[in-house]
Amino acid sequence: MDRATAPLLGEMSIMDSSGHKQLTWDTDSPGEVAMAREAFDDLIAKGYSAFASEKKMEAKHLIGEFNPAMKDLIMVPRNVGG
Amino acid sequence: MQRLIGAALVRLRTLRQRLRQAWRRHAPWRTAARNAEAVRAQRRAKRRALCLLARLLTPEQRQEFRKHRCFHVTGAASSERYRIRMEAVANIEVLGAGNEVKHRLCVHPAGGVPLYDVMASQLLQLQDPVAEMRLLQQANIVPPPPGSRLYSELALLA
Repeated sequence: MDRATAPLLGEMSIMDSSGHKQLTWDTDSPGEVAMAREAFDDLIAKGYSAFASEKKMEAKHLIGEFNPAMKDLIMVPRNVGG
Repeated sequence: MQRLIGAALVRLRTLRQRLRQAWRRHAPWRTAARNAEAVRAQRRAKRRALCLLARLLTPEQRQEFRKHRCFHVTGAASSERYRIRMEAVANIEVLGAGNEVKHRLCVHPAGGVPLYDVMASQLLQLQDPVAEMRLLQQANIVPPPPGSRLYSELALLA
């Protein structure tokens, strides 16, 4: 019998004063992907920047749109000059 | 006369109740507990931020950070060398060819994020060509501190 494969999870780290909040979603679940996309769009509208990579240990680059292929996202608040 | 005394006693009792309630609300042990919880929350935030920063660094950057509380980054668009230090203000140093500090950049994410998250955000932005250009436009330029020591490559090898 084949082993059940573990679901592939996408992970979004949202930087805030608590360190960061984490949002995970099952990449095979359309509902969860839609929820992640909505959170992504919401944060982008608030001025956050998104850096993503397909795998956790890869170098991240800036993205403007939610891409379900990107499993590891980091949401960074807008900059302020010091 | 008795009515006056009675009214005064009622007022005194009410005042005593209010004082007791105020004491229970603002008692020193409650303030201490609130402060202790705030400190714990701050420490948790710091630990989470450090974990995030650590997984974004290359092994060389991680080693440098462990040893010297700073790490070097090469700008993706400009190829400038930056040094991100563990400081709250003007913590990005722009380095010249001989490792001298040309000037510093003061820019950080809004929202009171922990210092390690500030450093992580700066690292992510400098490593992306579009984000680096945007960061440079938003940053305030600060001259290097007088008499700032050169950061010797030899110190890295030690």
